[in-house]
Amino acid sequence: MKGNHSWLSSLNPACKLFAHLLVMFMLMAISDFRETLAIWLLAVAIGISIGGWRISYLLKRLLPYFGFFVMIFWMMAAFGKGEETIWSWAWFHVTKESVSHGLTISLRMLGFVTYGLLFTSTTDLTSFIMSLIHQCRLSPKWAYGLLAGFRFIPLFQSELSQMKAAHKIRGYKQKNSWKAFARYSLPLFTQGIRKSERIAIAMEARGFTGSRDRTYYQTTKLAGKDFVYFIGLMVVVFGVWMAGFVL
Amino acid sequence: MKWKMKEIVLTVILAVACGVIYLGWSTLWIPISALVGPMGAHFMFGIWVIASPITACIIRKPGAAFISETAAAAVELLTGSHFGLSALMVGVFQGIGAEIAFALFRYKRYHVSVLMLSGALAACGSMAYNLLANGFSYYTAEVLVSTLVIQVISGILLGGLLAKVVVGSLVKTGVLDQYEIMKERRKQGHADEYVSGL
Repeated sequence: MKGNHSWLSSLNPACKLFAHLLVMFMLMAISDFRETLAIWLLAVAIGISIGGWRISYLLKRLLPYFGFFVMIFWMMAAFGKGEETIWSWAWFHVTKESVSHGLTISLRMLGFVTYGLLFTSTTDLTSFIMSLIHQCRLSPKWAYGLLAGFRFIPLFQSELSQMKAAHKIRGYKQKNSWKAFARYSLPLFTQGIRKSERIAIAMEARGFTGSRDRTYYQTTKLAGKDFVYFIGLMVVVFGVWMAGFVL
Repeated sequence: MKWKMKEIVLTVILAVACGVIYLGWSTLWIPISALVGPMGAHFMFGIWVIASPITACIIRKPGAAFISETAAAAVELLTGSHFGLSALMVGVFQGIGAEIAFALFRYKRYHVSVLMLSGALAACGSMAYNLLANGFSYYTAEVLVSTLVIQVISGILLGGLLAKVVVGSLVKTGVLDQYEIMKERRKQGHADEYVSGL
């Protein structure tokens, strides 16, 4: 997770996440698909205007989610409750109500994904953790523990491919995928545990106590533009929500 | 109870490992759920709550279940889950559910039945979230009840029981010797076994 050079990525990460979570809660409360669609389109518009998304990036990242969108829609439409049957076959039962519910729920899920992407694509992981320390009062002990742990995501991946290659070169063929899963996952876990112990000892050996009384290379602050984004987003989303009652 | 640094790093790393597994599982889940409906696919649910029982069983501290599940969900979000922010929130709900199970036994008992209970309660937590956010209340009552039952069973088996198996095989490798799980076992009179193990 790295920031890009957009205006959105210059905002305080904790504040941004909080704003997006609030939008998510509002999406949960909205049960009309037009309003949900409008709020989702808002996320796309934010991404293109101040989030530094290019159209090609948008297509590449959002297209797979459209498959997901269709699936969720289908699930709700075919298995939801409703009176006016449109189409029914085997255990699928599509009704007018379930179609409209399906649209709402699948657009809502798309909204969750897009606001999530808006956060992850414009936020640097380190500054996010730092803002958790400075703005959310997270203990440095946990914050640096998290940073050390997140470093393991690419490490796990490279270790897995290494292990696969080592098995292959020794002529191991996976017949049963469940057995292969156990074969690879157990070494991954044990290696991870061993490394975690070493990391913790290394941190303590260098005088890391995890107390609040320390200096930071990087500090994050709340600035005026954070409030502008937060309040602006809240006003627009709330406005869309309320517009549904008026119209 | 104060957390040691190595326990914190271990919790995070177990959560990361589980988060990576969750991500793979999420990708698998979608095609299956569209084919057989939400009911059938929920047999797969249990894996998503496995972080809590594994970590809680090893660390044995209040909060371990909640923190590990939330961190695993955060990893799923950061690595690009198609559930987006919803992956994070459902993790919080599942973590709370699992934490309740261990709190009920005052963080003293970590028998396999307690792990299974944590899986079941995590399933209830996930259901609460789904009713709130994913419009599960729009499903017919039969679908809803059977989904809950299937999720609870799956949480018990794939969450609780599988966690016990994983922890059991990790114990055998000896990497957990310096953690609470083995310390307690040694206190309970397995001291001879440990000495001979050296």
